[in-house]
Amino acid sequence: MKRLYVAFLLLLVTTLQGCATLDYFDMARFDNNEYLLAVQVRTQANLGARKCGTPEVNDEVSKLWGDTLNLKNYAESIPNNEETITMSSELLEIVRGLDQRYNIDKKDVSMTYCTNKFGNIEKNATIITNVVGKKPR
Amino acid sequence: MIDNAVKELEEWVSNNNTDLADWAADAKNLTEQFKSGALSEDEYKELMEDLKRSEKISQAADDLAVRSRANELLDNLIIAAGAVL
Repeated sequence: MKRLYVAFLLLLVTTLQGCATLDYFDMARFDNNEYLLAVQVRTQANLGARKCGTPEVNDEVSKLWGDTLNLKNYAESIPNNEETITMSSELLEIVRGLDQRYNIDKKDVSMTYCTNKFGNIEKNATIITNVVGKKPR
Repeated sequence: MIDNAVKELEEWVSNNNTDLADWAADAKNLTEQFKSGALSEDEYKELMEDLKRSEKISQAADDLAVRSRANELLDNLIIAAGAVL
């Protein structure tokens, strides 16, 4: 029975490694720095939300922009990391709107927009943190 | 027109597909906030665009979760084969 099991495993592994599915299994592994950067974005979104409606919110938005840009740039430097690059790039675009309003256009921003925006960023950063943390070791 | 869209969103909120229901609930909340005047038009449009971006993040996250699980499974099979041999 053991021999049959070994034969089956060897057949499975060699089949998977010998065809197009090899690309599927060629993926970026868990990276401590990437995970930390994702956690920092999540934490900064949580801290920033607390400053909605106060003058300090501009600095919090700047920090969040910097943290998210760091995550995207770091993710891009890792080979075979497509999904994390997609997630961090989309998140950066969400944060861009916030930064544009507070620090570039310096528009009046409603409290509802501020809380919704930070809430959405934190929710997405949590999704990213959870999947990046479960990458194979 | 916006009322018709809200009605459609309400139907989707009660949909069994959780992802779709969550998305519809978020869109409905934002639309109600816009209608009440709590959000300006450009803020509302930006937040609705963010929902599309969030959907892309969720899809990529799902892909990554499946790929990670498949890799772990393969690693475990290889380790198990080594142990048996």
